[in-house]
Amino acid sequence: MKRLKALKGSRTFVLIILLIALILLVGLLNPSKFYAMANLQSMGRQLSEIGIYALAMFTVVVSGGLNLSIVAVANFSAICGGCIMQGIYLGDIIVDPTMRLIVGLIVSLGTGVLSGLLNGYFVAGLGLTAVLVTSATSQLFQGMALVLTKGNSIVGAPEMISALGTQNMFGVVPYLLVLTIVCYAICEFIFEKTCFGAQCRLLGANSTASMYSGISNFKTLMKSYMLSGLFSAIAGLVSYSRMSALRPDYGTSLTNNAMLVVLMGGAWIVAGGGKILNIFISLFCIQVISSGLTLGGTSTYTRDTVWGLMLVGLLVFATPEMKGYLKRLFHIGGHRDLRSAEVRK
Amino acid sequence: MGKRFRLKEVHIKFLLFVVILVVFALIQPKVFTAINLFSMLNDAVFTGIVALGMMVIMVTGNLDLSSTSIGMMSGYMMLRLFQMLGYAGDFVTAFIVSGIFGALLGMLSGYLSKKFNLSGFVVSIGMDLIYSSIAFIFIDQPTIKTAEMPQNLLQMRTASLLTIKTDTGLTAKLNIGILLVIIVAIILSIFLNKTQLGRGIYALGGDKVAVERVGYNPMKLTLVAYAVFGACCGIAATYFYCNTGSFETGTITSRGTDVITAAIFGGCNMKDGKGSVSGILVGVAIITVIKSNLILLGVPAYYITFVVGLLILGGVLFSTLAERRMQKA
Amino acid sequence: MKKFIALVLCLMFCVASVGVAESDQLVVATVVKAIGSNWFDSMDWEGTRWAEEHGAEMHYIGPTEMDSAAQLQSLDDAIALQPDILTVVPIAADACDAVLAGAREQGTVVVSHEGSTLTNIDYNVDAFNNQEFGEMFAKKAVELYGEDFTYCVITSTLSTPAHMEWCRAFYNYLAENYPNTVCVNDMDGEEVVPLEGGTNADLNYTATKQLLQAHPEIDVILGSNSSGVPGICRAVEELGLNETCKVLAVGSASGHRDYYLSGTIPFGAFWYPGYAQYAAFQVGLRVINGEPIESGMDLGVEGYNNVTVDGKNIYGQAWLEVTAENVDEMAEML
Repeated sequence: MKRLKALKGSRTFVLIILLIALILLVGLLNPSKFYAMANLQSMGRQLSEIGIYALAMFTVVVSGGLNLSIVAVANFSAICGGCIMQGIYLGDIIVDPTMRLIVGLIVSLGTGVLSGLLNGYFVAGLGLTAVLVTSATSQLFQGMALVLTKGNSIVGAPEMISALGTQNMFGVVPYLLVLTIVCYAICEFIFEKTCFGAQCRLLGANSTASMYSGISNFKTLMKSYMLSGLFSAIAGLVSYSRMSALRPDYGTSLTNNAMLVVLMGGAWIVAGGGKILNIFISLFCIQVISSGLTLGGTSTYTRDTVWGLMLVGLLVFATPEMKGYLKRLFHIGGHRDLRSAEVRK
Repeated sequence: MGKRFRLKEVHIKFLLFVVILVVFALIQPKVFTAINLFSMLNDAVFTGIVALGMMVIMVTGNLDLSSTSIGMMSGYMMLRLFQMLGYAGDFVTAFIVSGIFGALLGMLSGYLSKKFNLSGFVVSIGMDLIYSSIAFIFIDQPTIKTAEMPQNLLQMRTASLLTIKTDTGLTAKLNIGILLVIIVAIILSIFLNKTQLGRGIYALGGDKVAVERVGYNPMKLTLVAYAVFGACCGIAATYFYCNTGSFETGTITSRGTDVITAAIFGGCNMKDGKGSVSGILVGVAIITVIKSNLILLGVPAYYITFVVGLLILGGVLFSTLAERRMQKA
Repeated sequence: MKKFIALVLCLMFCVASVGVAESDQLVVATVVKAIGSNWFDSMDWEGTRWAEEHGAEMHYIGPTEMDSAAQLQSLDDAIALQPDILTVVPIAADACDAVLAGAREQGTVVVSHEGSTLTNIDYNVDAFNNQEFGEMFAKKAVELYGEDFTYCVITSTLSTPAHMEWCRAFYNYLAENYPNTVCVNDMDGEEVVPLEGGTNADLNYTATKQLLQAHPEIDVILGSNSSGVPGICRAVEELGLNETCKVLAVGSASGHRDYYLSGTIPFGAFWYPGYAQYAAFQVGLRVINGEPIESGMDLGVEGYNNVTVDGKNIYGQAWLEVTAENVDEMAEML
């Protein structure tokens, strides 16, 4: 109960209340369709794509950078892996479908990590601006994907992959949602419990201080870009599983969606901050709004405006100035805040 | 000593631009013709104006991704306003009106970021979503057809600064847009370097606390900086829509990444509040020369995106390493 | 604590729902490539008209920018509406295919437009056969310019199926029947690679400027992208080539009006997507009612009064030809 009290006033608390409120409000628009299993599963699959991209973005944002190449890397690595799975590359050498699947997965994830190596080398090793580098590598990887596919898409996926994208565990929970939860749990562990996670946060908060603390900024940044590349590759596989097809130019809007989720979750507001749990909840908020508004018959413009207002609203209302004003208005708070800050750890 | 240092970095980037242009010209001599050079100047207008506006914000230590949405909204408002008034339009009024709309939108973003001490970048992501959509929720037919556009403004497509008929029989036409870029560049250069307000904006990027102590009002500085940025977005968008000859939501968005690349490439360092007009212009030049010549060079259609990425990465690498070398020397 | 919250969230998702409330109203939905342009908004207008005539509830859904991932989200949401009829204009056909399987599983009738490569559909309704459309332009080019001219085909992106089909049909027809014509595009083996103009007029302007500098001898350009054609024409006119180089345009007459009047576009064609939408819903209704789908049907709207059925593809004769004489009339429409 004390933990629950400590939660009050924190971003997590606000986000949970927001999520519940959104579900209720948006559900009012079209309750029979919104609360239907078909919709819940559809939302579960959609948010998986954005969710893993959000992780790919977060791992870099938390250490103080930005990665605009997540989608391009995802497409490229999925194409590399997918072509092997379908036997288009190395089709004569690897014949057994299971082998193809495994090698394809390894190649796909490996490509993601290597791309992270490239990004990391330029940003961490040479000290170039992250925005420029990742914007350029984004075009580089998309270009490579275009060269490989000549603008065409590659249709067809191994059964396991398409089952991942369309089937449900126990017939109820989409496999993609399970994958997302697993990925978030892993990230939660990495960023809350491991040394590496702490190093990332410190680097993001103050790169000079972290250097003087004996942390190798280069290694930490490098690892965070590689981790980002890994998640990008996973996201690419998620898209592949949903579409059972590979495209070189898929999903440019997803970078912005990922950024939105990460920012709502609190990253960047406090340098080096952002709890995985908050990002997870924000993800659900974003998805509920998107699906709910569409079911309610409004246009995509409405959805964009609501997303924008929500982000700005959360930003503004989370600031100390606003909080102080609200507290005075509602006579909340006082000395207890200091104590709850300690307990929250 | 500081000023001379900055000039030299710009020189390196200018050298990069020249090298790229020369290499391209060696591969395909037509790159160095009046037609192509004029074409490149025409292509650089939109990116140039917005990047110049972006510089003013970056110098205060902020980044803003909502340039195309501000442009879309202010362009739309100006066109609808003229349409409602039945006004056929003229260039100057169009730029002023859309500039004012843009300035207002920019100031809103700036106000939110300064008042609540938020990073301009983060606020811009939210405002980008809002500006690009809020007006259109309530409007049934957002498209403005060519016949519905203020007719005089359509002349921007053909208004030319310089027309040369070359021996090949092709005409080289330099659009008035480049004049716009030059005017904006001169105004901003004078504003930032010679006026109190401008110098205050530079200072804001360096040390926010010191700025206050010296007697500036940081909020006022931020609002002015964002107003300039917004105005530039509005003006550039007007140019874009008049050249296209119609308005449709979403067509302007693809221009966004070029602007950021050009601005950052141009040497705007957000952390130190550095940035100069000449640096921005060179950054825009480099991006334009890379993007506007590949078809002429005969790069196969499938390879174009890859080559662009490679060249930009290479360019960034070259200029950063060369500058480091120069610093050590 | 955190685990508890996560568990609660997941349980919420796993709660089996209230059954779908049965309403006697038909629910129909359409997913377009992008909202905000008259081209696709016309599908909203005509679709709503159809819905009103048939007492149905209509949803018009689409992303704000032409992006296949965003459209997939829209498609997922549209399917969650559990509509009786779903029409879709796919940006990326293969991306939509897998998702549409889920739609058909739940009993939705799926009718696509510009989606001849889709497999998980009931039918595809097109204003015309893409092959015939491309050939029509080729024949027109020969009619206007004789048998040996130089040309180039331009598309919006290399992954837009309809544009690519027209461009290829144009090329193949000329290559087969009029071998003296010269095509300046890249070739990929036997396939022609259209020039990628881009998704807006600005990009097409830049691309065409370079194209014409490299090949000033071009007589004919096939501009298959409606938003790009103004850029192509502006480039042609700016270079002063508008006497020798002409543009055959696909797309909205109102958008290209100035260039018809200036003579740069001697001939163009388009179709009114709104009528295709009406026809598509009509097909969907027939499927629901178990009526036969066969050649010769009248779908109740102009251009689709006597359609041809070829497997899953249903073609009308709904292309509208535009010249300088009738451009004003056509501009009223789109």
